[in-house]
Amino acid sequence: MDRALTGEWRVRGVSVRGYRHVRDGKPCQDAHGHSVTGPPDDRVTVLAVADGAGSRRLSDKGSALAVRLATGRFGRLCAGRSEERDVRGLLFEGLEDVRRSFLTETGAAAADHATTLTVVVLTRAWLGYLTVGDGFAVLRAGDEGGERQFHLLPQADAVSEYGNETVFLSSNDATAKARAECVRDPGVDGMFLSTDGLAQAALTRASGASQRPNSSFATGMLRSLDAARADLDEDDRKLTTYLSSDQLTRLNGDDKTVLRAVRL
Amino acid sequence: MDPMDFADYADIEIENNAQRLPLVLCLDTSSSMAGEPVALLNQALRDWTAQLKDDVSLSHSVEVAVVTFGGQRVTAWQGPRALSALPNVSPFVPAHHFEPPRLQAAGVTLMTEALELAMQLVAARKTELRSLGLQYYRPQICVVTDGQPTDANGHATEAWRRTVPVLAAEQDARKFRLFAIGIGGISPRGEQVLEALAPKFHARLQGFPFRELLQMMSASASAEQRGAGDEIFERIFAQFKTQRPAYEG
Repeated sequence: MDRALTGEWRVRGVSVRGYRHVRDGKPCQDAHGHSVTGPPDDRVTVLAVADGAGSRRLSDKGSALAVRLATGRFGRLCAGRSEERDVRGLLFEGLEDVRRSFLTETGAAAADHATTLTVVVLTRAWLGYLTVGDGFAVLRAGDEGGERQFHLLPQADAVSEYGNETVFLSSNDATAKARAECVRDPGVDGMFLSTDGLAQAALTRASGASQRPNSSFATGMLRSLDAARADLDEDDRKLTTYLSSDQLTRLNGDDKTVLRAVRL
Repeated sequence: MDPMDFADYADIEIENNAQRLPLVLCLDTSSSMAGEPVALLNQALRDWTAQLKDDVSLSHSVEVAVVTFGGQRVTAWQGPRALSALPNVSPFVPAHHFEPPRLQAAGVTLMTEALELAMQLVAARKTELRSLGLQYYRPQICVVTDGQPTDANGHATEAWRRTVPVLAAEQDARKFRLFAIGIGGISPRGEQVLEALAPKFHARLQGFPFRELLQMMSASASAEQRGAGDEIFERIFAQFKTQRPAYEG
């Protein structure tokens, strides 16, 4: 490894209510959050996004709970583990911990809290990624001919032929269907996590090719965060407006979340 | 909304790869629909089209194909254009581009053949969408009739029975949702056919409530988009049925 990843990231997140939820007077069922733990030279940053199932009564609470549990548990679990060799094993350990607490806290109403969960853990040596359901993460690393390159981390397998059906944290097969990956690339200097409300905008499904990030979208998401003197509150406001625009609603009327991070 | 409100993001280029929801209207245009019924149907189709275009979350997702059974054959329509008997182009048109056909009523009730064509069209469209790398929702097929299936000579036929096991298997496998609606003076016998075809979503309604029927299809499409469970579709359908009491003549 040429250089260690510094542990410091600038992180911003936005979730907006989708058109259908606005129309039906329902709350935003997406949630996002992050945590930073550990000493400055061995930071652990955890990013998490969750998408509460549209049809479930308490899914807004479910997504918020999943994010709270994930940012807390993965932060503690991964602290001081930057030398870990079995990162995927560690991530599954974290998932089990989160699921156990999620099921305990929601009890008999677990299914009413149904939510997806996508987590990225950033340590100085590795990046861990774990997803239950259809959330996704895009990394920025390297360039080709001066163009920054974006990479879609592998998504969990589809559960049916229909794009809107997925697995939830409370599903019996959540662990079996979860996808975990470890990336050891010091060139990763930016990323965003999203729920499926942005899949059509953020990913391109060009004919015949496998799914990949839409570079224009990914560039747009990260450039304002890269700017050293950015007014981040103002930027969040603009991003919120963009995510609520008709242009994006036409592609998907669901809630939309983007949790962005760039390396300082 | 003023695009300047998100100026820093306004130059992002996105493709229209909205998740698609194929919707087939399988409409009886046989002679019994002539006159006022088909006029009401045409008006309702025009109004529904305008509403669909105004619905920002359905307009780029729903794709409409029309299949009629009347005259001497079954016809697939690509918007306002009748396709040849063996269409080699897809009749599905995105809702924001859809223009309804101007239907005329005459001839026989080839409902069995129309349903078989509708199933073929849905399967072919799924294959097409997959090859385009586009995701899709569970399609919806709505068959609307005021009579009983006939053969090409206009004689009542039992041929529809051959589709019952096929439709049952396809619906069990969640290949699509089938709605079967009897209107006008459909006979109890005609209603039994619809019940056999669509055990869950069949109804017999008084008059020609095309407007309500098409709105029910939009409501179901919205429910599909928000990932609603079966009970929500049943509720939407039950509500639709009770707005118009079943014909008891």
